[in-house]
Amino acid sequence: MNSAKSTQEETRIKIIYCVECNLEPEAKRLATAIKNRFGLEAKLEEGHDGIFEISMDDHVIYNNLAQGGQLPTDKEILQRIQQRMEPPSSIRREKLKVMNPMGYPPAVTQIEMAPRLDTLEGKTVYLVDCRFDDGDLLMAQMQAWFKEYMPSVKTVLRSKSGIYTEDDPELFEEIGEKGDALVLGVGH
Amino acid sequence: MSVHTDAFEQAVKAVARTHGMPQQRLAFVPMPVMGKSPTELREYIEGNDPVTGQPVMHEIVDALTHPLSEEEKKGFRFDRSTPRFVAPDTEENLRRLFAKKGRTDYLPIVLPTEERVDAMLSGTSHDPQEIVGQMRPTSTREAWEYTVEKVAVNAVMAGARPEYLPVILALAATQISARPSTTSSAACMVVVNGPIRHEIDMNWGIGAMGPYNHANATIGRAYGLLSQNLQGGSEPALTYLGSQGNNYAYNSITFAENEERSPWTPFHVEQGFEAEESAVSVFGGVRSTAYNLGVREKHWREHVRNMLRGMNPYLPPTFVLDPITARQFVDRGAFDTKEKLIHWIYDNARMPAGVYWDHQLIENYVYPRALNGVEPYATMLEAADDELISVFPKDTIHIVVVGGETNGYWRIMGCNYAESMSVDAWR
Repeated sequence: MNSAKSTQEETRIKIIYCVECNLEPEAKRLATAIKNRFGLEAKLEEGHDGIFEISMDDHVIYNNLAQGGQLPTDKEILQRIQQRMEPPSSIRREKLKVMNPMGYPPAVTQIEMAPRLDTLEGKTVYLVDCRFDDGDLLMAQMQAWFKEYMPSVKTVLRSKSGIYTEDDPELFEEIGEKGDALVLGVGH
Repeated sequence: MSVHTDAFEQAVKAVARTHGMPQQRLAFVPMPVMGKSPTELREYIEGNDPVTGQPVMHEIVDALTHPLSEEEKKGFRFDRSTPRFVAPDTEENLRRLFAKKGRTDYLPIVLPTEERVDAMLSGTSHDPQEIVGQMRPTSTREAWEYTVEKVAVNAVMAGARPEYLPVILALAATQISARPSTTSSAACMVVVNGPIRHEIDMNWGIGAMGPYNHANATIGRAYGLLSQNLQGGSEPALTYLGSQGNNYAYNSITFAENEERSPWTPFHVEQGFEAEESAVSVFGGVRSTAYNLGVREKHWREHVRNMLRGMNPYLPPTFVLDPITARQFVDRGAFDTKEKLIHWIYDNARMPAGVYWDHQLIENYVYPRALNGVEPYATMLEAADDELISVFPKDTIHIVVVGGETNGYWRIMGCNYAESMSVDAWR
């Protein structure tokens, strides 16, 4: 229905049906479906020899004799009409060269990962809260877990200085000097 | 090693990869952490990682003690590039491709052919290959670089005209993303001042804040598209984490100030520009809005105080006033300058210190700064819990005049003024 008004003046639909085969009711039903969907008045024309043919702007979009006598479904015809109402296929098939809207990413260079410990027994592990949405409370529970299950591990619970996006070089220097490992949380 | 919530799995892994640690050892707990009791958080710790299904603490201990693999030790460096053109295809397929790859705002775009981009570039005297700046979705992400030509490509996609390009380039030059990745779904607001408003037929009257003007609409849309594409994307769960999203982001509330009908100094002049210069100003963190009609004679003070009390104290108020309301403020409070009204707002936007410091956003973003001695927050931290404190530093409160005087409606936008940029410099 949406494009009916603009196309009605230009688009001509014709249905030729075989009178002897009593295909007039089929033709009228299809014409009603086309009217309901596109607002187009299909012209009905009597034919012979078993024909049931639909054309749009003088272009045959279905001929049952070319299909072994098979009559089309309404849906099939409505789809073909819809396809022909879209822009000319020559335009849609033309390949366009368009520019890339993305910026330029920086190169990626590896940051060396810290060596791992043989064991945490007797080691000092810093548990650092990065200050986002109650992360300190979760890290406190992590500290409690270490006390209960790995009591030989010394844990130091700290909240970093500044907001979570800011660096805290003093703290990380301290961890480098006094700590053996670091767990940072809670990242979002 | 680091611990994260599972909602951020994609984002965390992407950041680790682009920062040079693709093998970074991670563990995840369920989202949210905020507001959970100690018992619930202990269950997180003793439970399984929702990403891997493995016990969280076993992963943490293992991450600290398992020797580095050869892969983790292997050095690497690689460059990434962005081709100037997309592989040629049909119009229909290109539209699908741009949408599928998240290059659009899911509204129809103008495909940026070389011819259209060349036409757009006629709007500036700058070299197409001149570097405009760098942008990123948030401060912890990598910054991507972009040229004048790249900005023009996005301006074409937005449906902008060449004469708008200096404004769009000035927005790009702020290097402030209109597509921040924040979970808070922040948008931007853009205010244009000076003669350029007339030259490109911007709207500062009826319907100025949208959607009733081609320049307002497409400049704002271009700002959004250039932000998401030039910063390397704005993809949900990966480079955009806004929990609810924000309709303001479609065109970053882009409008011109009604300088002619304002009783006060134009906004860009307050920021140090001459009146005859053209400038564009960006406000970030736009989410919250309060509104009212007129400034009532008897109880206007209470009405405005109540509106201010309803705003989140982390985001300072920018009063966006129709000229009718601006003049009413002048009449009611003898605010013959913006500065006087701003002082009144500062003095009346108060709440008990204990209530203020308990706000989650204040705890996340202000409290750590107060601890570090940053003023005025450090002094505010000294107040007793029941002491009323001014919650918005005076220099964070702003006033803009816009509207067509069909009535005296006005709004308070909760947002942070970020920067003003010369438009003339990009002509």
